[in-house]
Amino acid sequence: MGLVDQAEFHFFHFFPYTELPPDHGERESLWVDFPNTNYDPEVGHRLYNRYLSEMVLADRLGYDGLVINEHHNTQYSMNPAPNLTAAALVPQTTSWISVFGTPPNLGYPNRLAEEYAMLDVMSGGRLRVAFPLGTGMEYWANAVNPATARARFRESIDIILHCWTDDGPQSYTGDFYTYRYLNPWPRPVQKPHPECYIVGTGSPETIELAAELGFGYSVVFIPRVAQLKVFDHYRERLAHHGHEPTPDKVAFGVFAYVAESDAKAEEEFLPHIMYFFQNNLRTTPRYLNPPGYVTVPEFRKRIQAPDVHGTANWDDLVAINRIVAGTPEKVADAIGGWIEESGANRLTLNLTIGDMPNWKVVKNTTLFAEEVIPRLRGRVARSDGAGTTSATSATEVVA
Amino acid sequence: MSAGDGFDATPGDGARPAGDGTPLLYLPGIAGHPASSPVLDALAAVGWDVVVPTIPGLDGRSGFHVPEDYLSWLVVVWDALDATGALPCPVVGASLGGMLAADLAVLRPEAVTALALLAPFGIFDDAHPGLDLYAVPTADRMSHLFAKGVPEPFVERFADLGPEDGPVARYLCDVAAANLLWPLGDRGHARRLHRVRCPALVLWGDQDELLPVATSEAWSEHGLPVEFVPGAGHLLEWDEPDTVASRLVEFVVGLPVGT
Repeated sequence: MGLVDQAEFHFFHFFPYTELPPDHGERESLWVDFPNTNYDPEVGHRLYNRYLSEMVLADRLGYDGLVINEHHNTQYSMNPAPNLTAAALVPQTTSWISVFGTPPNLGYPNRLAEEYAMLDVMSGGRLRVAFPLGTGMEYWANAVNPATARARFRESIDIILHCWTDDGPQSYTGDFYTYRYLNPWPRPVQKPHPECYIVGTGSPETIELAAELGFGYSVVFIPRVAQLKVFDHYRERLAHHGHEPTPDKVAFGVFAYVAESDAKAEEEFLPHIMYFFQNNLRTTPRYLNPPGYVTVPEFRKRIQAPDVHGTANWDDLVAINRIVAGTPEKVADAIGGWIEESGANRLTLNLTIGDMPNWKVVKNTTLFAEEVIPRLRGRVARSDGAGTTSATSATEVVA
Repeated sequence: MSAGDGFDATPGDGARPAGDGTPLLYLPGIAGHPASSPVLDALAAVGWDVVVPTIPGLDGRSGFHVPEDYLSWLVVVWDALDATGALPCPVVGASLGGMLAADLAVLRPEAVTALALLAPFGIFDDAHPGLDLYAVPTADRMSHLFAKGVPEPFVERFADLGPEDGPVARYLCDVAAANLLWPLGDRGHARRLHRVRCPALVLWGDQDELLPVATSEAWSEHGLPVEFVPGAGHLLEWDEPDTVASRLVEFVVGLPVGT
């Protein structure tokens, strides 16, 4: 069994709110202070039902798992409380449910430990979680000082692990959270606890934390080539801390669209991927980087790095992301190459993106499941080499 | 926060200590203390030994540890103030420094013999929210602190550290100030200002963008006399140095000798 054919394919949904006012383009940011008067609950109701049905479809098509995440004060995501969405998915699905995830420092960590344990018990042990620090925008929306975000983050994860693995009741004295009786009910089904990842942007502190805890690692919003260096560093630190750097420890994201021909795929995909980067992600550096949110080393990096939020330049997007649109063979080749170059085989698939209509989501999700995944899982069996590809060809994208 | 984050502490380092004269403590504002203002020079000219403590973080030095909460902040600041050897004495606090000075007078009344505040933070007025400085692009922030142009020391803030370290120092200064003020600059002063026992004066620029002049009513309602300075912005001692200096000199000269 090889790296590619053992890959897991997880269907990711951002739950975007897509019915924006005609003049939204005049706004510098569609995060933080984009007025919620632009949110119509009737539209939201319709979208929730649609998006949940798309995730259930992915489950029935055989994807290994479903992935959701959390954001606040934005049209980018209607999931400010993703555990509610996960709970709605539990009785309708049989695959993994990954909450990737709630920033643990934005609330009370014991409550998050309880909620995740509930989901794990309710689903019969199908929960996976990731701990993100959250974007800078989340700190404008929540009552947490960004300068203490990282210290709270670390302490929160420590508390959650105590909740899951230690017998209660116990006490906990921290810099930010103190408990006399830490004794959460229920406890998770999975032992010692559900599989955990940390989501980061490549900062050494976050990588070290993931490696120290033996957690998986997922990186976002840095160029693909830089990601590969980050993965290598993470694996080195993981081994240093005595954990085996298996391929499933690293998760990476892919934007993909499958159609009958390359031209058809590009035609159907391009408007929505551009909508995602131009609208869903549109915000400003000042909201991305509230004072104290990044460490000094990270600050030095960011003042020299391109801003991808709201970027409309296709070259930048291609440099940063793994994007492919085309026939099943083309998509499978590209993804197979990305798996091989990264040495990682846990994929989060963005098969629905931006304002993509339901029919395209259904088409893409179905074709990917029926035509792409079998090709990737059959790569080892195909001894003619047709399933192999190089890192160079893997960068082919819609353009 | 770990040492690796680059925010460790050297509290009080670099403070200007008290000399032989009668000390007067000055706590700088939201943008730190890049240079002595004409107001401080005027106070020195009438015989006060103006002492400017180094507030950790506002000096832009790497190695600053962000305190976990406001009480921890007060401990850090008080350590810095005590290190000067100036207390007890009159205290002048501007902007962010005014917020800290007010709490010094409230919580350590024996340390403050007179209190002069220049557009202090500490009370947020829902009806007059003012400008959210940290929602303004970094490069534009200084312009909102002054009504009559950004003084040279603030234009050149930390420029002496060079093109790589200068921005980092400005970032660290902003981190320290924002950490104290996040998210609204309200630290509950309205609930404790009645405990100010010493002579007090509050000056406020009527062109203040961050703390609109109407915000000052909350201070006068709690017993601190407020006077307006026409034409001045948030850091009013730089916009109207003569007016502010003469009023402060008048205030401190009226104090008993040796206070």
